[in-house]
Amino acid sequence: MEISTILDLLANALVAGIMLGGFYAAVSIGISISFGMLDIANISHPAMIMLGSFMAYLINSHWGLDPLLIMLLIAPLFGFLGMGIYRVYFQLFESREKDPRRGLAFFFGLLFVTDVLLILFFGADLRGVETSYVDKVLNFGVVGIPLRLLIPFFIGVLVVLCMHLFLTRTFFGLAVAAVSQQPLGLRLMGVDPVRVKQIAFGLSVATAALGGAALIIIQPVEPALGREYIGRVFAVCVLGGMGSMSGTLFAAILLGVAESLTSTFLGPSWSPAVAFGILLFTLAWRPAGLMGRN
Amino acid sequence: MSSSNLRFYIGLLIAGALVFFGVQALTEGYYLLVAFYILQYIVLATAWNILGGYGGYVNFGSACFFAVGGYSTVFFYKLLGLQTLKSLDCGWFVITGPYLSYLIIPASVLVGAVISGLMGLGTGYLTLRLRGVFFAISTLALTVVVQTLVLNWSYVGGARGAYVMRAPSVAGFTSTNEFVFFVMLLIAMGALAIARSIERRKLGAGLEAIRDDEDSAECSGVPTLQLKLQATTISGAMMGAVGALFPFFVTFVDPIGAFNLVHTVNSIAMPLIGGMTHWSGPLIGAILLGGVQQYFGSKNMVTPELSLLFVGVLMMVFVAIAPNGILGLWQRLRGKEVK
Amino acid sequence: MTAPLLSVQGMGKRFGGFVVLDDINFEVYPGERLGLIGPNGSGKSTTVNCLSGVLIHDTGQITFDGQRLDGLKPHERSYAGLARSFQIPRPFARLSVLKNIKVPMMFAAEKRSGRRFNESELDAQARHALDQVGLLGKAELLAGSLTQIDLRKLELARAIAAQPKLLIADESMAGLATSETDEILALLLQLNSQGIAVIMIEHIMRAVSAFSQRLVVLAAGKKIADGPTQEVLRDPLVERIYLGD
Repeated sequence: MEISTILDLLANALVAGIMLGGFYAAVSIGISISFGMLDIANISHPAMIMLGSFMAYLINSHWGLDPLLIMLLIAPLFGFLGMGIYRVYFQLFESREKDPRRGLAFFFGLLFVTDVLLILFFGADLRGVETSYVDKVLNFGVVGIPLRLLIPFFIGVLVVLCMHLFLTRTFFGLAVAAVSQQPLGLRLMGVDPVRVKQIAFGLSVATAALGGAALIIIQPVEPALGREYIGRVFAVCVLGGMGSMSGTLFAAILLGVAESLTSTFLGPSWSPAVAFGILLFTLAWRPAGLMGRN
Repeated sequence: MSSSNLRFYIGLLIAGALVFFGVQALTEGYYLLVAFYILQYIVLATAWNILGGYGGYVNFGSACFFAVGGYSTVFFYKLLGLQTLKSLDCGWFVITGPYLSYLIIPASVLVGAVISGLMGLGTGYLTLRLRGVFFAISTLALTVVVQTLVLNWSYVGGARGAYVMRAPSVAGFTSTNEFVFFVMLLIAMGALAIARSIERRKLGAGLEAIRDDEDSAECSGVPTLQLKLQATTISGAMMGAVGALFPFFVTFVDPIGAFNLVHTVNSIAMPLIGGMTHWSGPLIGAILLGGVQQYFGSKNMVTPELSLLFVGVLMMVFVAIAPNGILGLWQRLRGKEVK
Repeated sequence: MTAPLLSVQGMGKRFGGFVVLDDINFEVYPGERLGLIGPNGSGKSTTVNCLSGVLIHDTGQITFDGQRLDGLKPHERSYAGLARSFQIPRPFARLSVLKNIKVPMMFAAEKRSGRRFNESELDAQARHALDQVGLLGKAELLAGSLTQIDLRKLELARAIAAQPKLLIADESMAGLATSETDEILALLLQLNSQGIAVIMIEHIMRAVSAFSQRLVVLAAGKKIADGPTQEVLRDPLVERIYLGD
C-alpha cells in the first residue's frame, strides 16, 4: 500500500474515531453517573440505549419527526422511567442488607427482559430512520466526515458539557456530586440523599435515551446491538476515572479512535475486543482511571 | 468413608441408574432429549453456584464458558481430522468405529474442561483482585468479545457454523445419542459430587467467608485470591465440559446458538430459585426450571423468547422477595434460620 | 533485653496529597500489653490497617517475629501470627457462630500449627474457644443475629482462634455499657495471660490505663509519646491533646 493511501486512511480513521468518541461519551455518561458517582452497577444501561433507539425509530416512522427532536421528547420520559427503576431498586435492595449479587441480578434481569421485549416487538431486523442528512458528507481535503457521525459527536460533547455545568454550577448538581461522599452532610442541609440519588439515576437513564436516538442516526439498529455497548460504556467509565465528566469525554474519544484504527487496519470484527481490552487493561493497572479519583 | 458420604454416593449412584435405565425404558427419544438438557442445566447451575452462590462472585459469562467448550471440540475435530476417522491404531491395538467414541468423546470433554478452566483462571486473575462487580461486568463483556471472535473465525465455521460427525454407533449402547446422554449423566453426577465436596471442605468454608466479608476473611487467614481463582477455574471447567459434549448431541454448532444468553440466564436463575447455599439448590432449580422450559418448549406453546422472558421475570421476582430460593423458603417454613 | 515481637520503623501513609501517617516508630514485646491512643483522626485505624495488611504503607518497615511484613497480604500476616479485630465487628453474618470460629482455625491456625486439623478436632477446639468467651450456648445461631456485646466477643474469639502471637484489638469496647466493657477487659487480660501480646486501641481511658503496660500516643499522624502508661498519661503534651477527655 502506498504511503499516501495509508496516511489517507489514517486521517479518516482518526477523525471518524473522534466523532465516534463523542458519541460514545453520550452513551457512557449515564454509567459515569450511575456507576461512577452513585456506585450502582446498572448493567441494563445498554438495553435502555436500545430502547431509546427503537423509540426514536417508532416515532420517526409513524410521525416523521427528526431524531434530534424525538431525543428531547423522550428524554424526560426515560428520566421518569429511571426514577421509577431506582425507587424499586432502593426499596428492594439498598435499604436492606447489602448482598451485591441481588442488585446485579436485578439489573441483569432488567437488561435481558428489555432485550427480549424489544425482540418480541420489533423482531431481529435492522430498523433505521429517515432524515434529511443521513447521507450527507462534509469534505475537508482528504478527510470526509459524514453528518450522521458529526451530529452525534456534537450531541455527545453537548451532553457532557451540560452535565458538567449541571454538576458544578447548580445546587442540585452539587448535591449529586456530594451524595455518595457526604450523605450526612446533605441530610443536615435538609436534602434527602435518596431523592438526590433517585433523580440522578433518572438523569442517567435519560442520557441513555439521548444516546439511543443518536445511535440510530449513525446506523440502523437491531436489539442485539446493545451487547456491544456493555463493554464500551463500562470501559469508558472506568478509564475516565469513575465519575469524572471530562474523563468520560477523553476516555470515550480514546476508545473511539482505538476502535476506528483497529477497524480500519485490522478489520471491523475486532471492535468489541478493543473496548474489552481497554477495560481489562485499566482494571488491571489503573483502576482509578485516567482522571483518577481516589 | 463417613456414613453421610456413603449415603450420598450410594444415593447418587442409584439416582443415576434410575435416570439412565428409566430413560432407556421410555423408548420415545423425546425423554432422552429432555433429560439431557436438564442434566446439562444441572451442571451449569451447579458450576455457577460454586463461584456465585458459595463465593458471592456473580459470573455473567456462563454462555461463554459453555460455548468455548463446544468450540474446542469443533476445533480439535477439524485439527485432528476426526471427521473422517474410521479407526485408530495405537501400536499395541486398534480402536475401531464402535469403540472410537469411548476415546474421542471423553477426551473432548476433558479438553473442553481444560480450555474453559484456563479461561476462567485468566479472567479471574485479571479481575478478581477488584470488587466483584468488575468481575461480573468483565464476564459480560468477555462473552460478546469471544462470540465476535468465533463469528469471524472461519476455521471453526464462523457464522455458518460447523458440523461434528459422530460415530454411527457405539458399542454397548443402543445409539450414539444414548452414549452421549450417558456421558452427560456421569458429568452431572460428578458435578454434584464435586460441589458437595467443596461445600464441606476448606474451599467451601473459605468461599463463604469471602462472600460474607472478604476483608475479614483475609484477616482470618483465608487466601482470598487463591480460593477465588480455584472456584473460577473449577466452575469454568465444568461449564466447558458440558459445552464440549454438546456438539456430539446436536451435531451442529453455531455461534448464535452456542453463545445464547439463555445459558447465562438459566445458570443464574436456577441456583437463585433453587437456593444458593447448598448443592441441592441448583439441582432443584435446574429440574424445576429446566423441566418447565422443556415442557412448554416441546408443546410449542411458547417461543424461545417468551421462555426467556418467563425465566427473567421469575428470576427478578425471586431476587426481590425470596433471594434464598426454594431451599430458603423451605427452611423458613420449618422455622430455622437460613444458613 | 528480649527482641521485640513487632517493630514498626518509619511507617508512613498518604492518601493522595493528604499525609495520614508520618514516620511512626514503635515496638511491642512478646506478651506485652500496649495501648495505642489518640484523638479521632490521629491515624490509629490507619496504623491498624497498615499492620494487618488491609492497607499498604508507603514508607517504612514492619518486622514481626523476625519476619518482614512489608508486601505480605493480610492472610499471610495472619500466618505469621498477627491477628486483628475490627472496630465495627465484621462477622461472617450468614454462617453460624461456630463456623465463624472454625474459619480462622481452618486457615490461620492450621497453617501456623503446620498440620491439618481433622473435623472432630476442629469442632472441639472451636467449641472450647466459644466457651472461653461465653458464647457456647449460641454456637448454632447465625452470626448476623447476635447482639452488640456478643458480636464483640465473637470478634475477639475469631481473632484468637487464629492462634496469634499478637492481637490488635481495635476499639473492641466502643459503644458498650460499663459492665460490658469490663467483660471485654477481663477477656483481653485473660488472653494476655496466655502469652498473647495485645495492642489495645481505645478511647475509654480507664480501660486503657488499667490494661496497658505501655502507651503509644498518636496525634495528627505523628507519634507524640511512647512509654510506661502512668508516665505518658502525666505528660503535659498528652494532657493538652486530650483536653476535655
